[in-house]
Amino acid sequence: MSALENMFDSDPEEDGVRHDEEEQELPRRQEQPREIDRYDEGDGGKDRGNSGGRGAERPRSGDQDLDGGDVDDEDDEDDEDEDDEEDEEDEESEVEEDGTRRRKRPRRERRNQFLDVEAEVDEDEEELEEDEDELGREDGFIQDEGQEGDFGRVDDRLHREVDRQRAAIAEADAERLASEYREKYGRSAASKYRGEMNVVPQRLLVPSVNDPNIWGIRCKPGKEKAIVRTIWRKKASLQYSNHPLEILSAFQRDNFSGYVYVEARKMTDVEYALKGIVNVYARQMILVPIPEYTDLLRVNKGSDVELVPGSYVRIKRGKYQGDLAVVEDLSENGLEAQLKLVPRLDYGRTQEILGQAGIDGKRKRSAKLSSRPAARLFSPMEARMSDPKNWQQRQAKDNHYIFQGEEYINGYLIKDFRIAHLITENVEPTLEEVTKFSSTADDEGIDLQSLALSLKQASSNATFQPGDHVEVHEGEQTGVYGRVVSIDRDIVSLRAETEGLKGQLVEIPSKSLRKKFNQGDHVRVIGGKYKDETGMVVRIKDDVVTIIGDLSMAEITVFSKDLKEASDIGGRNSLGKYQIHDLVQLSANNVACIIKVERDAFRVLDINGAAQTILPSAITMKVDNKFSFATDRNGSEIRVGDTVKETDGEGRQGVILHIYRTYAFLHDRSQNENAGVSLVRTRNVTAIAAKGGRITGSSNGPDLTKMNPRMQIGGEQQGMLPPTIPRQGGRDRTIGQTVKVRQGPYKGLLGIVKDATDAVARIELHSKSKIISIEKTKLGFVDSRGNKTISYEEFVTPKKFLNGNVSPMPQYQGGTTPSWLGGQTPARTPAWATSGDSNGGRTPAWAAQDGGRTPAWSASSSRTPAWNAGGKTPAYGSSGNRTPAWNPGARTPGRSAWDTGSRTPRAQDHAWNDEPTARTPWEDPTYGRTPGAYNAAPTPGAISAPTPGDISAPTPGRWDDMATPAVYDAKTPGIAAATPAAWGDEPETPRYAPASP
Amino acid sequence: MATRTERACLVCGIVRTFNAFCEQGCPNCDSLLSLQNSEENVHACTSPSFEGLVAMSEPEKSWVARWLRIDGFQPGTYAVKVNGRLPEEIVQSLDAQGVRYRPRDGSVQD
Repeated sequence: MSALENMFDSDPEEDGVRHDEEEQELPRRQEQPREIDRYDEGDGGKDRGNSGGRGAERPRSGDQDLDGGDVDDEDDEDDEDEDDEEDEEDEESEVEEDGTRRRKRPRRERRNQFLDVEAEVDEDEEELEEDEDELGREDGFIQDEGQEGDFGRVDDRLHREVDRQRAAIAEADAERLASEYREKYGRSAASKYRGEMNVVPQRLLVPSVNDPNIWGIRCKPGKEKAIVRTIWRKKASLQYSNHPLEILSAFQRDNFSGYVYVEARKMTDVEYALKGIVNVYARQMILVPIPEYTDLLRVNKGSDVELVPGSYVRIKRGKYQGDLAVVEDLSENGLEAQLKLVPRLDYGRTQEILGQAGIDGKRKRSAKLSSRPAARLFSPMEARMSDPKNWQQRQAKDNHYIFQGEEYINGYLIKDFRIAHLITENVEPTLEEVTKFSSTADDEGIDLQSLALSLKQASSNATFQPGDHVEVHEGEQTGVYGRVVSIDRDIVSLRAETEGLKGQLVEIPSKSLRKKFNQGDHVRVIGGKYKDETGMVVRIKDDVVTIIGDLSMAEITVFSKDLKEASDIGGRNSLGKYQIHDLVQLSANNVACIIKVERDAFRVLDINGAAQTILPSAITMKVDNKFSFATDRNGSEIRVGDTVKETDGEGRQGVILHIYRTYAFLHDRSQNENAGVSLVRTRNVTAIAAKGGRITGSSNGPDLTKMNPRMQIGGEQQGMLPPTIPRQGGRDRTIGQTVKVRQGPYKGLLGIVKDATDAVARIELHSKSKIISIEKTKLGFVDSRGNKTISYEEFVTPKKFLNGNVSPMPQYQGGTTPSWLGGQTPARTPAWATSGDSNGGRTPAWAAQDGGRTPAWSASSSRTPAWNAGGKTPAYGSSGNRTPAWNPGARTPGRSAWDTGSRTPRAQDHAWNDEPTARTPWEDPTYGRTPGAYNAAPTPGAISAPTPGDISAPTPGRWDDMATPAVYDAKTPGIAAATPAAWGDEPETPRYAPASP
Repeated sequence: MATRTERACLVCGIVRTFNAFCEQGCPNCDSLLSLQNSEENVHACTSPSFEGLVAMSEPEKSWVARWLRIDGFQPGTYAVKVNGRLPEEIVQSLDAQGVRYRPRDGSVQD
């Protein structure tokens, strides 16, 4: 374009014309800038307003701003509106653009001067200019000219330019033009993929100090996403306001609950961005350290278990909530999985109930009834019965049905589930569940491999430990082996032991490693079904290792990753609440002893002698019979813990684990069968050693004399047995009594019993405001009648015995062995003596027992005087009176030893009459336990045991009848009166009662 | 917010509602995936399962954007992790266009 031409076209109105034309031509173009104009009303508008004024003074800088803005607009229109938000910032930055652009500007400045009033129009014009530029026209030269020339020239130039442009457009290849336009303004199509084509390793992207800061802000947990969205909307809506948000991004992670993170340059920007947003606690704002940025945005694949067909999952919700399922197939996008599970169908029963309920108008009940049906395999017949319309068989011979829109193959439901609705981690299928999937005929059992897979998934990488011997089985370093030195996530450092590399530190990803074992290594299984078994490696093939279990002596094949070198021997010995060797109830009449604990099951030996594997659910309860006892073949007592030997059969020997009815479970470590546990009948064993050295009878039955505590402690020289303090029913009689402490630091003080147990009383002292605990036997009880104090024993002994003429029998009755207590011996002795024949069969047994019993008696009888020693019972004092009555008893062999009557008084003298010092012996624990000794003694057992069985039947009955005190009352004088024969024949109490004085 | 119908683009990770994907396509990858007006494609190339919501305002300046490799994309809400993968044939067609598909489900670490 020449200056001449410009001169011709100097009509200022031309500009207006041109403008109109442009508007017609490029209506679309114009839209964009206008929009931007509107957005720019803040800063942009200001700039423009200034530009006029500034234009006069220093037009360049004024226009620079404006121009920069426009150019920028052009660039960004290519993109979405959202980009517009950056305009303002860009405008500022454009100020420092390079010189070439500056040169253009004066030209526009002039036009601006000319069209100053109409900013919008001005803008459009510039738009046009820009467009022209970009359409490939180079008019820098003309610009220069225009700088020098007058307005007319410029206008002319523009005018002609438009003409030329028209021509150019006409000439232009339509297609090219279209594409050009599309590229510039088109939305979706034009947005060429702008993701990076070349992969930059993420480690090159780690943040530096130059990167924006990230602040973590506390917020209400669960609201993180909503807050991020709110921030996003706020950012968008304030984009073109006077105060746009200056933040770069905001984000949340599900792993960091209760926090949102905002990326920005300045903290004030963050504060401004969060101002007014609810559920954000903006005061609790922390600056995330730069090294932790990457952790915030880490994408963890590890948290998800990769599902493969065959892995086990659980269903999160719905009818099958918690049910185990097997993955059959996975959808292409990895979001859905086809699962095989045991259906829960009720075949329309719920429907029926619902229907009926509807008729009855009792709908509420139906809700409860419609709880989910039990899981069991699909039954085509039932399905057909319930809903024939929705039933169809896929293929005639195949076990493949469609029922109510669901697919059933081999009885299993095959259904698609979204993986988001599945539990894939820590599935831990139990054997019980897994067996459900393997119960069909065509399955060849449990797929242990996939089971192991799903069990091990969680810790598949964590199986190496420093010190492990490992071997590289894939990759370049295949064959290298060594010891693990350290582990950093997936990278294992090992000290190589291979020739050539010896001593070098090698880093290998853990997946390329496997544990290395040698034949003969002693190992422990650390995962899988055989967890905790130990054994010796016998065979190695790749990563499958076969070991011989220490306890089971069976071959176990496991993956080497599940093994660990170990020096100890052990196995799992508990599962749930049951332990190995527990006795458990299987059914009403079957119990079993656990002989082995497996991962999900028990191996038990039941009382039929059968070993079986059961699930924990098959166990009703644990039988606790620690104190059970039985008699062995010889009538000796045997208890849990005793060592016994089978007398016939296999001659097994072992420690009794349990006694159940007539069976005993023995354990012998040297046995292999059933893990050393065997079942025997108690009458087929003989005791070898009792637990804790307890005295057991030898072959000739229980030797009760040896159990006699008195005998044991050295017989008569040792003094007498302590009196047995009877237990009283009901309220303790001592409570509320005034007592005097007779021993100990409080000796001599008076007090009132506030509370009492069997042996100890709590006494509130009169003198000191204090409550002390003291043994009852150390107390003297102040008699109700006067100031006489009596001992505890006296106090608790029923009055009538004290002032009566009777022996303290009832004390014995209170004891735990009434049938024994026989105590009745004296009463019976005459009978025995006289009518020995009539009792025929009993006699020997009695003799035997009497031997044991009598001393007990005589002990107490010898004690009796001690009570009387107080002189309270004169009748007693004449114990000599009784001697005749006793004498018959002397005929019993046992008795003779005892009835050295002279001993009685002596014992009485020194043991009981003497005050505390003399009494101490029976405060001695061994004495105190006397009743216990009786309890512990197998007396009842002996009676009920087979040997005395024949006589034991009649005995208790009779004894019981006679056991009333009245009988004893009769004893002392009565015996003298009554003939012994009468005793033997008629045991009824009433008869004898009158006989007592 | 219609969180239920929201999906994330498997390629760029942008989070939009299903309808938005259908009507407008993916602002970044529509030239590759042509999601617009194709429910089928939207189903195949977007995932309803994603984690970590990022409101990205200024992808060019943000380190977060660079780290997540969304710095070349449009501002918008993005997911940190998108579960699921593109169907194989789409991956291949991307390859043909010179775009390497990088799954956003965390399975690729570099």
